[in-house]
Amino acid sequence: MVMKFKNKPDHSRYDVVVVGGGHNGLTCAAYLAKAGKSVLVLEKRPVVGGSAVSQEVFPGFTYTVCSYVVSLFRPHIVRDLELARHGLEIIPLESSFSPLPNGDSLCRWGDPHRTRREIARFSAKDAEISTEFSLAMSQLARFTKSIIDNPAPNPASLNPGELVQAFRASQGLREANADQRFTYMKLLTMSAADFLDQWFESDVLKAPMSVSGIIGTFLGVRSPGTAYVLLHHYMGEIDGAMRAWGFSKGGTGGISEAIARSALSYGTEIVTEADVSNVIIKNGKAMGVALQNGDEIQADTVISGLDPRRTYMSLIGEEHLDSELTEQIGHYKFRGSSGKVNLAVDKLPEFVSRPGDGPHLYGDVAIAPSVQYLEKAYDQAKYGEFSERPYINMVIPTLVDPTMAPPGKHVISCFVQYAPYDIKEGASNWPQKREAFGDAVVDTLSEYIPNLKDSILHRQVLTPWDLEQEFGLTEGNIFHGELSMEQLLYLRPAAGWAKYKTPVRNLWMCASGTHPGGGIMGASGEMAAKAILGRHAA
Amino acid sequence: MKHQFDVVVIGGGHNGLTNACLLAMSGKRVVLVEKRNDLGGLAASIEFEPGFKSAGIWHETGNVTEAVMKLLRLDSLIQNESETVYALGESGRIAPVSGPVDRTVFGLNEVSRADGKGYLRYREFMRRIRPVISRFLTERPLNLMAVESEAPMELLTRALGLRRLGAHDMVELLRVAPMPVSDFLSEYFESDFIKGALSLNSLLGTFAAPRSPGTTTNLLMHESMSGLSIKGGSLGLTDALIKRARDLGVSFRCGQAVSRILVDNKSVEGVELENGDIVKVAAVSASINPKTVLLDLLPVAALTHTTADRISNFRCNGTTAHLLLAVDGPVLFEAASKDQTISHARIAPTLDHVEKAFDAVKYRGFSEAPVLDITIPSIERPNLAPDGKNVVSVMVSYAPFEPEGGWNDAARATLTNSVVDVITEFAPGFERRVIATKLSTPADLASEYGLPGGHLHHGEPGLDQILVRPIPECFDHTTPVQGLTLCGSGTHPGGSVACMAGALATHENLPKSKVRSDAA
Repeated sequence: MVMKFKNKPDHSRYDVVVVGGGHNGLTCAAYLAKAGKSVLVLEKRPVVGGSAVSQEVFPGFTYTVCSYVVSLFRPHIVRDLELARHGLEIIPLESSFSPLPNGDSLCRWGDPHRTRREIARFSAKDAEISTEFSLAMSQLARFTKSIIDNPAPNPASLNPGELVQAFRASQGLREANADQRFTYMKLLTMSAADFLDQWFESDVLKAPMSVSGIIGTFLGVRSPGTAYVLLHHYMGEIDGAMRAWGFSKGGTGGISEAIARSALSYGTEIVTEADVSNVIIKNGKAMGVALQNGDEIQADTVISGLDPRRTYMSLIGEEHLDSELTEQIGHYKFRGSSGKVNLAVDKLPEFVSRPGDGPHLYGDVAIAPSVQYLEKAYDQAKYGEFSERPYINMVIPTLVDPTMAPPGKHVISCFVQYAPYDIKEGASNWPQKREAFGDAVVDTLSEYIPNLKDSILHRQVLTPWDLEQEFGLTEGNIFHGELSMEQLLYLRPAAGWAKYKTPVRNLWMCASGTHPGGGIMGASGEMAAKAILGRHAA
Repeated sequence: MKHQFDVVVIGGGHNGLTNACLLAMSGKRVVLVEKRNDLGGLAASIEFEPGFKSAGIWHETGNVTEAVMKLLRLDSLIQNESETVYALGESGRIAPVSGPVDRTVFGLNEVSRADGKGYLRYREFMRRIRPVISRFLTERPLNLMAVESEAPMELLTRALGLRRLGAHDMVELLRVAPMPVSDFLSEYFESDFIKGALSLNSLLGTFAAPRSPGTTTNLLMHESMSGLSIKGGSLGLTDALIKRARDLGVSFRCGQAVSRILVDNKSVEGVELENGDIVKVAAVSASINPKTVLLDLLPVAALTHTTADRISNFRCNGTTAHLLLAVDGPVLFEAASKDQTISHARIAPTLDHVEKAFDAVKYRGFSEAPVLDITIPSIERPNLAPDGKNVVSVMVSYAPFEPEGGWNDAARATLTNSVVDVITEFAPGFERRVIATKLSTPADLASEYGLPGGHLHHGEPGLDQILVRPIPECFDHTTPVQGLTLCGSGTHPGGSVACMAGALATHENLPKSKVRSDAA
C-alpha cells in the first residue's frame, strides 16, 4: 500500500535537487518538473511525506503517524498538479465533538442550523449570535486568503516589485470597511479566549473554538495573538473546492503520495533513504549536495525542504553566513509543544456523553472542556512538564477509510498538547517519560470513554523528542518553527530572507519554515517553485 | 442658569489637571470636578497612618516629555536624570537596572560582564527607536481603521518617520514589538533577576506576564522614553500642576462627583453633580475611565448599540494591589553596600517567578510569593514620615479584582503578610519594623479611585487597545457626543504619569496652531 522508491538516483547531475520529501518539498518538485526542469528529490526516511505520512506501524494497522488532518491545502495546487487524478481524495470532517466531564457534550456540525440548536442547549444568546459570528469571520477570511496565497512583502523594501506584492497581499484589507478592519486588528492581536469572550458567554462553546489558535504553538488560549487562527476555520467556504479540514483517503500519507505520483508523472525522480549531509557551496553559490554515504550530486538549483535551523546550520553551515544572520537564525524559536498518541483498538470508542456509534465519531473529537482547563494545561507546560490533563484532538480515520485497519478494528489518532520539548529533566530524557505521557493521554480519554483502555491493542507514543529524532523536526515543532508574530510573513525565517531565497546563490527554501508556513497547505512549496521560476515579481 | 464656564473637566489626576491647564491657557473658563477630596488622583498623597503620608500610587515620572512640560510652561521642573532602580536577586545579588547608563553598566558588570554589555546594546537600541516611539506617543493618533480618511501627506510623513530608522532598525522594531518581553530580554541579558526586574517596566498594572506576546511593545514604550524626570517626583508634578491650574483661574470642585452628563440632540448640555447641582456647559472633558464616561454617565440613547458594545468590551482587569507600610527606621536590604541608598527596588527573582505570580490571577487567586516594586518615597521627601521613620510603597503583582471568596479580612491579611515576608527575605528584620500597613486591592482601587476593574492604566495596554484606544469611535479623544472629549489614560497614548493624554485631547478643543504657538 505504501509507495516504494528507489535508493539511488539515475544521474549525477540535475537542474534541481530538493532536500527532503515532505509535502512541501514534493509540491515544489512537482511544479518545477512540470515547468520542464529535471528534478531529484532526496528523502532521508524510507517513505516520502515527512510529517504527512501514513505508516503501518503494527501489522494491519496504518497510522497517520504525525499530521492527522488536512488543513487549508490550497485548492489551486490540487488543480495545477492534477492531484485528484493521482489519487487524492479529501473527505471533509463532518463535525467537531466536545465531550464534557459532566456527561454532557457539544457537537458542532457541518450544518449550521444543527450546530445552532446544539449551542442553544448551553446558551440561547450564543446560538443566536453564532450566525453573525460565522458571517463576520467568513468575510474576514478573504484577507487571510490574499495573505497566504501571495509571497510576504518586505516593509523595508522600496523596490517597485515589492510594492506591487504588498498591494496584492493587502487587497482584502483595502476592500474592508472600518468595522471589519477593527475586528481584523483584534484577531491579529488578541488572545483567542479574550476575542471569543467578546462574542460568546458559554465556556462549553468557547473552549473548543479557542484551541484552533494554540495548535502546534507554545502559547495558551489566553496568550495575545492566538485569535487569528480562528479565521482559518472559515477559509473553507472561501476556497470553495473543499472544506477547510478533512481526512485524506489512506491517511495524510495519501496526500503526500498523490503529490509524489504527480511529481513522478512530470518526470521527477524521488530517492528515499538518501541522507544529505550538506550543500556543496563554492564562492557563495550552491553547486549540489553531498550525501552521508559520500556520494555527490550536482545541481544548478538546490532547494531545502528542511526547517530553517537545519537548512542554515547543517546544510549551509555557519561559515557561509554573516554573523547577523547567524544571530537571527539563533533567535528563531522552535519550542515544540505537542505530541502524538496513536492507538489501535478492537472496538469503537463509546462516549459516556453519546453512547454508541454515530456521526459524532466521524469528525474530530476535542477534549477541551473549558478555557480554564486549557490554560492550566499550558501553565504546566511553561515550567517544563507535560500537561497531566492535556488538550487532545482525536480522529478515527478508519471510519472514513476502513482499509487502514483489519475488519472491525480501528485506528485512533490523538494530537496532544502540551508536551514541551524542553522538559525540566532535559529533552533527551523524554524517552524515560514517554510512557507516562502516553498514560496521561489514555487516562484523560478514559474519563470520557470508559471502554477505551480495554479496547487498546497497540499504542504508539510520539513525544517532541521523537518527532525531532525520527522526523527531523527541530525541537519537535510541527510547523518548522513557532507561528508567532515575530516569525511570520517577511520575518519567516529571517528578515530579508523571507522570499524562499537564502544568502547562498541558487539555494532556496520551500517548507513550513517559510511564509506562510504551518499545516498541510502546500503553499510554501508552490510559492517557492514560482519564485525559483521567476513567476513572482522580485 | 447662565453659562459660567466653558468646559467641565471631570477628574483631577495628572491628565485632568494637564487638560484643565491647557484649556485655561487657551482662554476657556474651566471648572474641574474631582470626586475625591484631594487632587492628584493616583499621584496624590494620602495620610494612611498619623504622621505617615504616601507619595501616591504611581511614583515614577520617568516617561514625562519635554514637549508636554513646555506646553504647560513647567519645563523648569524637568531634570535630566532618571531614578536608579535596583534589581534584587536570590543569594544576595543586586544590580541597578535604570538610572545613568554608565553607572548602571558599572553595577551590572559586577554581576555579569555579559549583562553590562547587553545593557549598553539595550540602551543603544532604545535610543535609536526613540524618535518613532516618541512620535507615536506625542502626536495625534492616526485613524488606523480608516486610513483613507487621513491626509496623504500626513501618512507619508509618518511612514517616512519609520523609514528614517533605516531598513535594519525598522525591521528589528517590527520584529520585536509583538514579542513576549521574556524573549526580547533574553536576547540582551543572561541574569534572571535582571530580566525579571526589567520585565516589570512593561508589566506593572497589566493583565500580562513575561511570556505574553506583545509585552515588548510596552517595554519599548516605557524604556525608549525614559531619561528625564520631574523634580520632586509625581508629588512634585501634582503640586506644580495644581498651582499652575489655580494661577490660570481654573475653578475646582473637590469632593463632588459627576453623576450624569446631560446630552441634548447628541451634544453636551452640561453635567449634573451627585448633590443635584447642574453645571451648564457645551464642553466636557473627562479624564476618568472611558467605560465609566460612556456607559455610566451618558444617557443610554447617546450611543449606538455597537458603540456601547465595543466600550463594554474594553478590557480593564486590574491585577495590581498597592501596599503602604509605615516603618520604624530605615529599610536595610541585605545585598546593598553601606554607601548605597536604595529608594526603589524590585523583587522579581526570575521570569518564571513573575509568570507564576501571574498564573494565580488568571484563576482569581494570588501568589504566595508576589512580585514587588518597592519605593521608599520618604528618603527623598523626609516630611512624609516622622523623624527616623519611613514610608514604604509597594506595587504588588499580581492580585485579582475579585479573588475566589472575595477580599475578606483573611485574604487581605494573607496578601499583606506575603508581601512583608518577601521583603523580609531581602531585608532581614523588616517585619519587626512595620508599624502599620494599608492595603489597596484592585477592588479598593476601584472604589477609592473610581477605576473600573481596579485597572491602574484605565484599561489593558494590550496591542489592540494601544493601536485603537479605547474604541474606533473615540480614537482621537472625541466621542459620538458633540462636545464630549476623553482625556484620561484610557485614551491614546495610555497610562503612566506622562500627562500626554490630557495634552493630546485638547487638540480637539483648541485650534492646533494655538497650542503650537503657546508652546513656542
